Amino acid sequence: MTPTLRKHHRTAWFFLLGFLPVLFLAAIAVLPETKPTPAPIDDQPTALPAVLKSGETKQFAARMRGAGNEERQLEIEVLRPLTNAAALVYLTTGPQARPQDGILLGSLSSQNIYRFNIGENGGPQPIIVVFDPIKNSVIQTIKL
Amino acid sequence: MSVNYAPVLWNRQKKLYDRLMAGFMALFLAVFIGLQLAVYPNITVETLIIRASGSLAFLMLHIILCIGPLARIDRRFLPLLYNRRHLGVTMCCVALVHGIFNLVQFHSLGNVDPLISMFTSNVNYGSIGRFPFEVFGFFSLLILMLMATTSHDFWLKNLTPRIWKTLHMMVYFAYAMLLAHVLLGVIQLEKSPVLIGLLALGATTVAGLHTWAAVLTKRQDTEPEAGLLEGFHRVCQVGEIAENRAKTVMVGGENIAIFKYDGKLSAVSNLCRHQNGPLGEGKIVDGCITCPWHGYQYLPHNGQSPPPFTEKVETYDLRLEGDWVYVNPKPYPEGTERPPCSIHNTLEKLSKIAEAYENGRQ
Repeated sequence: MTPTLRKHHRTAWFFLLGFLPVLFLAAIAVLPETKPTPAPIDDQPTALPAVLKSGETKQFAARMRGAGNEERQLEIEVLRPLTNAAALVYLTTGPQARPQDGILLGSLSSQNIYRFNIGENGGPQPIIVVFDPIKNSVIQTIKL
Repeated sequence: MSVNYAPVLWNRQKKLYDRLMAGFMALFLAVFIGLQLAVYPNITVETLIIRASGSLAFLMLHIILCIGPLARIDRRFLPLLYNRRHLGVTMCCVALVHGIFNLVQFHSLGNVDPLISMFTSNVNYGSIGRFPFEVFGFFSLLILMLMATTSHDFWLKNLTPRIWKTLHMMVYFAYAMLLAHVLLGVIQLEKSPVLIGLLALGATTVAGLHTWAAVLTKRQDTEPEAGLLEGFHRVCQVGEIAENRAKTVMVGGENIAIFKYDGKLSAVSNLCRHQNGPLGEGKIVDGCITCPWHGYQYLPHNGQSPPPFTEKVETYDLRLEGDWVYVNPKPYPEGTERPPCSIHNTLEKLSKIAEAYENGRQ
């Protein structure tokens, strides 16, 4: 190594020795007080006791829950992180399972369990369509 | 690139070096993945790859940055320097895996180009805590890739050692940006005191070793207060130079290595023609001065590499006055033969003088 190069190394470290402690202190000073947690899901109804029907794919597990009377509840568990920026849940009963033919229940986001009260809309062979409104494409169809 | 350039010139030492490196990497990955699976049983494969590759590349960069100063502080670390560029290129490949998986995982599924998404998905450029830390990682990776792609001797020769070394000194800038990448990224998310402690330990070790080495080598760059004798500067005593080793001196702005071997002394430039490596920190192997960095060799009496190699360094005249070594800082052109200075002749002369003095007394 030449003396000039050694001098360049010394100069570089002279600046780094001043900069690195400042960087550490600044990063520690702005540490958030709490660890980020998944966004809470509002208005999440409690699960109805009986599982009447169920279906599962690699991405989702879906269950139709009931309470003995006509009250029905659809429970969807997002098993793997979604790779879509937006995902809407539709309940359909038609043979083509198109979202526009169904009832919009709500949206899905991070890995979690989502419940939607569907009243008497369960039908004999319900089909759940998870739809990406941005890409305008069906993410998954789940038959119960 | 010319067909004369082989991608890698393998030898036993390089193979051993690379095997040890691969073993270390495999061990690190096994331990890291095991720990991650134990602590986060639901972790996805993609996240595991991102974390493992990022941690491994960052650790390797620390090791790489420590090798240079360690070798300057203690010669026993010189073997680590020998094949450091393989370590650097491998580290760059691991970092590239980290970068690509991040880009795919977080930025490739939208309607925006992944690279544009990386720069525009978080635009809190005015905030420290929420700064888009990925940008630091991206530019660091660019520098590391530039260094890796120019690491071959082809680029060293064509860019010239000066430009090549300047380019490769950008690693310090990349290191600072990577620290910012980690401090404003994973540290802000995890808030783990252990992670902060490890990061501080790593940075302190790297900075401390470089500072230590800088202080030591600054002494070498200081010219001795030498006595002058017909253009020759007094630099040291013969006894200060170990057999088959050298003493390096700065005289008249010249960086000179004075070697002692087979009862002789020879002086050549201290700068290896390959990467300006410190020849004076090497030793005589098979009659040749051997550069400690990459093993380039020169004959001590003429500064020429043994055939078929063509590298040459400047030579200098030496004189012995008593036990004192004098050097003339005026360099001879590269590869000029200069007769070695015989220590035995001088010692014999000294013993004869001593003998005559003793006889005179009697």
